[in-house]
Amino acid sequence: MSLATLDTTRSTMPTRCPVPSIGYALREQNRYVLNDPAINAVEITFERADDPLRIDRYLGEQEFEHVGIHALKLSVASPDAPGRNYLDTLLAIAEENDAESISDHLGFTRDAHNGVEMGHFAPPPFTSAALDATCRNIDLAQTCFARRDRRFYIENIAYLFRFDGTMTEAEFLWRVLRNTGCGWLLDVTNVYANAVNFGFDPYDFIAEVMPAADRVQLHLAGGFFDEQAGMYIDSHSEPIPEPVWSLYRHALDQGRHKINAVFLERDQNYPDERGWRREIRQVRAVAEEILN
Amino acid sequence: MMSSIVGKAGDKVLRKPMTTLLPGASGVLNETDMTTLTSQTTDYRDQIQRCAQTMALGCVEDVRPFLANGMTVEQVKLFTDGNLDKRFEKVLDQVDLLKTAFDNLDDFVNKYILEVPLAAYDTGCSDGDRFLRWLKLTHVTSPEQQDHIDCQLARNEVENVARRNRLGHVRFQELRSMTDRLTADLHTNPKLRIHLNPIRTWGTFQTNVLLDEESTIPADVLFFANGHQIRTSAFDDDGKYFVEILASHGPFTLTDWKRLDRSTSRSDLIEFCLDAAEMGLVAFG
Repeated sequence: MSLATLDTTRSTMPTRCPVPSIGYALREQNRYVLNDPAINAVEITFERADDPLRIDRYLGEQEFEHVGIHALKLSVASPDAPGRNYLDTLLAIAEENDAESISDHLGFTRDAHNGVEMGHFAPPPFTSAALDATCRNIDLAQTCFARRDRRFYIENIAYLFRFDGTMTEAEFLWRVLRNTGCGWLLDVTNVYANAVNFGFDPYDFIAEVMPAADRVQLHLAGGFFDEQAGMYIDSHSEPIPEPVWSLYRHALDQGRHKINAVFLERDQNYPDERGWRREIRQVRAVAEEILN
Repeated sequence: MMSSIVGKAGDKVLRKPMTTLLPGASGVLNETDMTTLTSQTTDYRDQIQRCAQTMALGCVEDVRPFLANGMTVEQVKLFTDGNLDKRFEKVLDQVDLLKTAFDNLDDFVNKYILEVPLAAYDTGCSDGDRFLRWLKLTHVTSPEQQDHIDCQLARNEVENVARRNRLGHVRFQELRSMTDRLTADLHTNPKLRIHLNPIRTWGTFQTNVLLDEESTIPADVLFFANGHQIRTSAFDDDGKYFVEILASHGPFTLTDWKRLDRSTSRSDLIEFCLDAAEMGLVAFG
């Protein structure tokens, strides 16, 4: 089945639409710039906020138009369902910080409930068995989060290898979004990295998957090309590279009226204050330019 | 366990329109379809278990049969090496206290992460905790090194207690924030109750390496949360007795305490309370 036949939502002429909420993935290193006028959203990494000795809420006193919680260990492609305790704690952190969305990655980090953790997410094999397990786990997570009116988004990951499968990543993701109705956290840099490493057109990928998503958030980051490995590494250590800016424009255009938040991630080689402010302002300027 | 999961997956398939799962299917499941789906589910479980377990220890050969055309185990190795590097740094950070006691701590951590896979739902200090228990079990350590290990384990346990009783931690710290103001009332307000910090655990040190030189050993040491920090205090028998009475019967007023323990003078109890309040072990309210 080609994706074209699955696509029932054809894009129409571009119209003016609201600019999404924009902000950083919160790190201690950028907390002091969150009052920048370009920032009205923030993303909290669950594992950072889940500190048992913390007394005040992780986000502090500042208010944002959109707060997202980003998790790392739902492992939605695992054969076992996510643990109840993990889901409940995730929800508690979301409530404590007035977050309206919760997200995690399209991959697996562990084998089973009482098993082992790999430390990072690997892509699922793109097969119907993996699709079934993934959709079941996302349904379960969404049912849990919906109790407190939190909406779930699934992020496309950057991967360094692929398992044998029966469908493309785009088709797999399309089906996950359609079967579960969850949102898409479109990591633009991950699409770029996979396109560089595995030789597909990142513009086509976004255009193919976007119609399946009812609501979308974006991730942006910068990595580097590892000459020795011959691969682009999504290290979150560099400024956003030019090809990702270009792909970001394309994503904004394709996702107009659906995108509610854009988050910029940085985990290494932190910039100075000017650098932090300059890059997030550019993220907003591009969104305003494309959407207005 | 296995059968219940297979059953769940089967239920799920029955609920979903087949066209979204198996292109070309009619939408009605027959026995052959069910057998195929159950087999697929079992195969999938086996694949993920085999791959995750092997990759968690940095091994890649077992993954080879499952790779897509054109993929190499070197690519998988890039993935597992990156994960192990991050895990190494994280464990080392979690057992920072041991750096002064072990010259070859890096080697131990390296050996550990290649022998013991990260546990599912690793949270907070859990991997560091497992490393310390592994170290105790697999290596001969000096009494001084043992005290460092036990100290770090006790600090981790304080975090675990706080994780199990987060509300208790937050409430006590709120009370504590008012304690300075209420300290002067301890002598005069008969309704003022004394609360023991619920986020605490006892440990024992066999040597003086982490204590003052004049401390008596072995020493009973109390580890407790102090705001976002963890504090450690060694107690003599009287101090330990006071803590245990508060733990068993508290919170209570000074008058209640005096009824429970007639042998101790009121001034001694007040002195203990004021010292303990200053260090964050008790609060008034």
